[in-house]
Amino acid sequence: MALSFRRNGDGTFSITIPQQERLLLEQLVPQMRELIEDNDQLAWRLFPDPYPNHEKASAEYTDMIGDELREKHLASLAVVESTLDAKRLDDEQIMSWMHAVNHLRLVIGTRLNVEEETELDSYDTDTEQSLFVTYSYLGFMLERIVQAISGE
Amino acid sequence: MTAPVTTPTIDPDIDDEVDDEVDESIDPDRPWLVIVWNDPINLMSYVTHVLQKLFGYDRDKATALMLDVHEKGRAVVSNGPREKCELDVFRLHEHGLWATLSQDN
Repeated sequence: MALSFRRNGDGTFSITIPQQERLLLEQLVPQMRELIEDNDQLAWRLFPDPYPNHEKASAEYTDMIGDELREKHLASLAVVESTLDAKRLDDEQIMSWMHAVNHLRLVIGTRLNVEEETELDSYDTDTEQSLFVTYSYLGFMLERIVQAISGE
Repeated sequence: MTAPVTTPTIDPDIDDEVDDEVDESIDPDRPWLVIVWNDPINLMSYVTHVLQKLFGYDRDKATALMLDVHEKGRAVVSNGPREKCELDVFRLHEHGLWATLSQDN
């Protein structure tokens, strides 16, 4: 069956994820969780600096938010991990899916140095090409999720 | 989102390139702006949806802002006192958008 996210009349969402793609998420999500838990540089794109020209303000902001952003990112991943086999999501769970899938795209895309014109044959190695296919697929998934949530 | 001419070269070493004059003292009386920057990864549909969701913009306004980000490299999406803007930035980061704060000139 094809990938689909559909809003139901009762406000829940029916989801269908093909088996292979569910397995893909099963592998990616824990890897992403580890990157964030370990404060790995590879996840830096998920923690932008709101004050890039004000070192002091930046440090104050970092102190103020503490682990909050990190915890939010981890919470989204946790929801996806626990609902990988679900056929139905509530409106909070689908938001978490939206965040988690987007975060995966951001980290993978950053690692691949993706630009607007990037295509599969922008890459020379099998590893990078395979990763780019994954990245593209996640974009496709995200579009579906956004369509289901926004109704447009 | 396309990578436009003015995509910021944001890397972890950016502070090394900033000279002292840019690190201005912060004037508590000037209002603050929340800026979203273009990036080559975020989907246009996603950015539009996030702007609607976080700021209550209708679809047309959110789309116009998103296109500004896409075509000009950045757009102001919100403004106000510093604390409110910091909260807006936090929420944008939660959604994976690239947002910064600056003071209104």
